[in-house]
Amino acid sequence: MDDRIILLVEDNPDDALLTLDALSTNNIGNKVVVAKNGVEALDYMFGTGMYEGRDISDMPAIVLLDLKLPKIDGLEVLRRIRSDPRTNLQPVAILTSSNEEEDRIKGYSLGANSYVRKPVDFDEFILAAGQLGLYWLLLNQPVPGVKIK
Amino acid sequence: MFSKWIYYRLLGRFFLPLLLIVAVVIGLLYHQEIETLDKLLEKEDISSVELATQVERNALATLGADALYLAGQPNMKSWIEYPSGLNKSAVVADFQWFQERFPAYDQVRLLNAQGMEEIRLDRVSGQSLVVPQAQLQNKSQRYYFKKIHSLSPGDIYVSPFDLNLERGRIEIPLKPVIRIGTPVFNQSGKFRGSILLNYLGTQILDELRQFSPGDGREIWLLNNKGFWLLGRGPEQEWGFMFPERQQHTMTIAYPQVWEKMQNNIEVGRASQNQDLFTFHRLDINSVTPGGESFKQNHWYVLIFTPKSYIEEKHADVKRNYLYMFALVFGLLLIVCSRLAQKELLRAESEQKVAEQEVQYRELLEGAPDSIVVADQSGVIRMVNVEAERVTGYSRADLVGQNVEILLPQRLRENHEEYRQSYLENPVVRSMGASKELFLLTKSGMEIPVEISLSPLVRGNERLVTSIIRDITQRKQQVAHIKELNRDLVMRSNALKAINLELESFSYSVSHDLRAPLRAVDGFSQTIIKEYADKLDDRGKDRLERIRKAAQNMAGLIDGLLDLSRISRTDMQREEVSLSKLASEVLSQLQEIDPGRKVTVSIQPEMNAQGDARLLKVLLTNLISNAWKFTGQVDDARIVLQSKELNGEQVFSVQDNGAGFNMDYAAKLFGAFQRLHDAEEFPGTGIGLATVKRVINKHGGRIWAESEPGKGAVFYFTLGEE
Repeated sequence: MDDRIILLVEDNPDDALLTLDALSTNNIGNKVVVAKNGVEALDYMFGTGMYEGRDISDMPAIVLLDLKLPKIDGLEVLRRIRSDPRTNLQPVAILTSSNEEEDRIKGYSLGANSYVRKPVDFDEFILAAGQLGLYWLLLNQPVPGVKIK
Repeated sequence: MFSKWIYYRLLGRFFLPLLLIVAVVIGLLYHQEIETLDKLLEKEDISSVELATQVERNALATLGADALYLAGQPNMKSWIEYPSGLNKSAVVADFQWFQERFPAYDQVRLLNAQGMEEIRLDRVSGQSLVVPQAQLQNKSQRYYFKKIHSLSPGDIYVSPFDLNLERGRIEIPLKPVIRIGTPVFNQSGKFRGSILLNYLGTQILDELRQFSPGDGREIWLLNNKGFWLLGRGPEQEWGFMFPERQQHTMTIAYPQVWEKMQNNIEVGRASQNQDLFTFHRLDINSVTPGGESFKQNHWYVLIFTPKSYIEEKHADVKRNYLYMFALVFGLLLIVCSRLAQKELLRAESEQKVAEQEVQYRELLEGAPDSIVVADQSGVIRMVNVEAERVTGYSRADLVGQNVEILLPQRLRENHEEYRQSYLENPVVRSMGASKELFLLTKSGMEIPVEISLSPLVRGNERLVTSIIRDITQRKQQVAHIKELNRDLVMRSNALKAINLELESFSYSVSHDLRAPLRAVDGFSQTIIKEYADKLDDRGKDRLERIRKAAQNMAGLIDGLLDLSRISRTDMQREEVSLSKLASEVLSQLQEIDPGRKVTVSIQPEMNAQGDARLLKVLLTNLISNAWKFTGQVDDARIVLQSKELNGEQVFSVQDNGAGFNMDYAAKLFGAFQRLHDAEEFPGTGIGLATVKRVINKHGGRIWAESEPGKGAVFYFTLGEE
């Protein structure tokens, strides 16, 4: 279980660090790959660009996706993941500051598996991260045929 | 009433003159007919008297002829020469034969030269009787003997017509008698005697009576003294014979008529007391060869026509003419009444037309638009004051001119065609709706106009009314409006851009302002947790304060977002149960703060028309406030209810909490306005601003009543759809 990768798409290094902190506080030791923008995230998912040659059948256990991203924004990243048959079953949780209804509706309609708002209170953040990890890494049964290392 | 009066006046105008003419004509006709009738009567009377006179004259002539006949007999001649007994007998025989043949002769006598009766035959009981010698009388002293004696041979004596006397007395029954005599002479011319015939006048009187016309009219016979021989009754006749009847003469009864009769005229007419008398004089000597000595002996044949007869005749005519007049009067009345009715109708319709004309004029002159009336050939017939003002032409300038005078040169060419096509289909319509029309003024200026055309029939004429509206001002206004509109579109676009910007700003705020706060809070927490041993209490406290401030700011940001979201949200009104919403909010609050004990009273089935989500925000804020400000009260109470006030549903949220000073009520609903210490009652100061926005969005009102320490009531209405 600990082998499975978590893809964190987050442009803000503070938020990325806080997320990593929160995950480790919850004793989640999985490898976390951080993509600083939408392009990096998609490169990782499809083995292109800086991730050229990556075995893309090794799908992340969960993609934690911020919405407001440089270059390609989070909703577009989600749309592309969902529209490609290689990645369309990838669990994606939106983790964002936005509490806009519109964002939530768009996120879900594009096929997000869950939508979590990042609280300012770090205690709550830790709680949220813990629950996310617990759910997606322990409770949730992955899609059949996904390679487990 | 008015028209009745006119009707009678019209009737009078036709009827009275005609009636006058008819009356005059009928009067003249009547007069003429009366005259004719009178003349006719006169002629009739005259011919009657003439005829009667002729008959008398003939009778008298026969009498004379009879006497001469007897005198001329051969036996008579023999007796004259030889007065022998034999000859006398022959004469007597002749006389007898004669008397038997002519019974009207009462006596036939022969007197000798001495006046002694030689032969006398009397008619007794229808028989001719020879009077014996002894009874013969001497008549030498009688007036008739003397008269006859003085006559020449062949002359005839006619006695006055009188009554027979017998031995000096009037013989009864009355025996009217005329004595006819003629002298006889021998061959040597010696007077030998006279033949005397007593003729009974009854016969000629009876003959005369045949001429009596009747109907009150009478035929009379008068002698030369004016006495009636034949008159209106036996008691008036033969006046000269009776001493007591001497006054029964024409001279006394009708002196004027008598006077006229004496004027030596043969035939004449006279009147007295409107009775008419038609007379004819009959001179005896003109009948008989009597000689000059009997000139005075004449009669009058007279027809008396009483006034009543003439009046009756006149009355007949009068009646006929009255009938005629009545008939004509009636006919005239009917005809004139018809005429008057027609005339009245004409007058009324004329008046109506005149009134309409006045109205039309007033309408024309009072119109705020220019009005030009033209005939079928385009000649201007009428213009109003406004047309004068707008065109600059005077009325005299325009009337009689062609309408094209008011058109710019470039539009004149086709205008005639347009006119013709309009005349083919003359309906009320606006002219050249899609084209721009212009009016050329006297000064050569072109004014943009709008023209409405309508047909107008006046009498036999078909005219076209053009109503011309100066639209210069309107055009300017339209241009101005267009300009404003452009401006508005620009502003609206700018506003849209701003709104879009604001939205992206809000989005950024939501994301980007929170991220640093998370870093501040998160890393502070890391320090507190992982580096606790390296920090003293003061350091820990300050880090906690940093965290609190960060969280506070996050709350502010969320509040602002909520506020802006309300403005951006499209509202959808529906039936919302405020009671249900309020209970939800309260149970959430109770969940967050389970230690609080608050008495809640929510009026059941409190419904409102509004946007469910916005109303939730509204109630959440109001009830949260009430919850918060009752935090330090032992017996906390929150009441939600609604009442109808002036036909408006008013909702209220009441608490018995801290309340506020009404002096600051004006600041209550402003953003970031706080009336309490943050220590005592923490808050962002955005809640009531949000509430106010929700209320504004619904078109409602919100106000509050409070007193410090005595709680507060927030009233609100939600307006209408």
